[in-house]
Amino acid sequence: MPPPRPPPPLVDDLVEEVLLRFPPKDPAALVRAALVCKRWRRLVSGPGFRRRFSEFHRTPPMLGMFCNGELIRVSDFVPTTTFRPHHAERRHRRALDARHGRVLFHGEGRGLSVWDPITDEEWKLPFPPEYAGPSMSWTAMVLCSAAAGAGGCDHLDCHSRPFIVVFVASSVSKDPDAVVTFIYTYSSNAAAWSEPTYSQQPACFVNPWIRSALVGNTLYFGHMLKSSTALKYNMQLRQMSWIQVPSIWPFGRLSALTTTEDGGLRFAVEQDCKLYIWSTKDADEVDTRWEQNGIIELNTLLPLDADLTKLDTVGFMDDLCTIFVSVDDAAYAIDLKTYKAKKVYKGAVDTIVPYVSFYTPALEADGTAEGPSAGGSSA
Amino acid sequence: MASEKKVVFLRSSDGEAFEVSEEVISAASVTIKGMIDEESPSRADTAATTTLAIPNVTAATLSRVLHYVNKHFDAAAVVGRPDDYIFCAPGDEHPLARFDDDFVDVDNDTLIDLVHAAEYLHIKKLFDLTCKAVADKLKGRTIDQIRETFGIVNDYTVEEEVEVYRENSWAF
Repeated sequence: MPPPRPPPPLVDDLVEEVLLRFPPKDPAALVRAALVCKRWRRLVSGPGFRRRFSEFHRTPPMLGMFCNGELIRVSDFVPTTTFRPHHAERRHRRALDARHGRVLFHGEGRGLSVWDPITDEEWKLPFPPEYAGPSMSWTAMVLCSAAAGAGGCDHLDCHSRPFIVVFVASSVSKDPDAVVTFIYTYSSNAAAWSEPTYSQQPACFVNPWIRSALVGNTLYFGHMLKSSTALKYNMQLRQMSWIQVPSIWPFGRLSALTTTEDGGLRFAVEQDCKLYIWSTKDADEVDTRWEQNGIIELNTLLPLDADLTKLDTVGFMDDLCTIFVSVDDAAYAIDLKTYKAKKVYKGAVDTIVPYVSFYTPALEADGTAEGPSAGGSSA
Repeated sequence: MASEKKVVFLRSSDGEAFEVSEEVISAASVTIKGMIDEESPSRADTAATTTLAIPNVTAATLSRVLHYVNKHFDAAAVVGRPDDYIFCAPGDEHPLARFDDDFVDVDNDTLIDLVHAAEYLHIKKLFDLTCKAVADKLKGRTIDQIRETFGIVNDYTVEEEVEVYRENSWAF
């Protein structure tokens, strides 16, 4: 037998291979790894690692949820992993959307803000020029700039790149024929709003409570009153149109509008505690074929003592793998694959915006090797 | 199954030779398949068995690697997919998943040797399995324990360390 030898050191490549296999649901483990030595810190803080980590695990975890209170203007971050952002509680704000690593807030009367919970960077945006307060029904979403372009984005490392905010509003007028819907796009690169795009369609108002769906470089927004109508906006062509979607409950409550795993569009309508789900592979086709994916009886999934007269759908995960409902003074996450409900929030909540992202440490990479970590300027 | 089983010998860094079916090792290891392909023209007209030197892997590690490779190949053959080398993900119901769990339930040095061997021999699933096992070991350890495991010197100053702790107190 050969004599015993010292343990073989792990070369950098292998350290990286090992750290890539840390579970995305345990961000704290990567932070601790960064503290082993500066070499490891440089490794996990670099943009290369972030990209490879996303590529390796593919499906980002939900790091937490922003729960918008019903009565008071506060958006609580409720963690679902070990990740805890700095300044998590956002008073006087309401989370509107979260995508590609960033969260978009409406700060009561003070415009919008975009926050990256991982790097703690924040950008303040004024409202677009035509914003007219309560006389409009509006919503907005945040996404990486590349998603709007022709080539799209693989979202592996768009966290640190420029973002855009798409603001959609319909004027609320007594004359239904006079309803005008417009879209402005804010680019972080230009730090300014674009010229608007308009559409005039009688009695069509954008839904302010439902997050929009991003399919390729097209966005879909809900209609405030009719779940059988949606607003489609092609970001590249800057064209918008109102489209019809099938619904057996045209006036049921639109509960979700999202992408499917294979790049299609899916929506869910809630009526009498039942969730009706539809999807299409290609929403762009003129004669789109819609498929009903199921009817889910929400009442059978919730605790027996829940007061179902107060049931409300308050949010969803993209792909519609989870839907959030509020009943009484609590919110539940219902997993639509396993049909299990879990209490996730205690208190009255009117919307929940899930924060789904990979986490890799945003520590300064110590000025060597891969350079400063992009987006790591948390100072 | 091939009617006539060809075998090759692999010689470890410490000089021990191991016999393995050519079919099995070619399916598993990209590196050895490459070596065999290079040798083939000269082997066609001789009956001599090939011995390949594996200078980076010790006998102890090589015998473990071959145990893994044979086991997985046999399991693939049982389900009638001999060409499709079977692998499992952790947590699978498949009996091989249990074999894999036991396989990596070894001390650190043995595990690290297996990582290096899997990398050198280019056995992707063994590499995945062993790297994942190292990751699983690490994530439950304290920072000091990780340093000790890999003989890593802490090059943070106390001030720097405090700063990282302070900024990321949620992670500790």
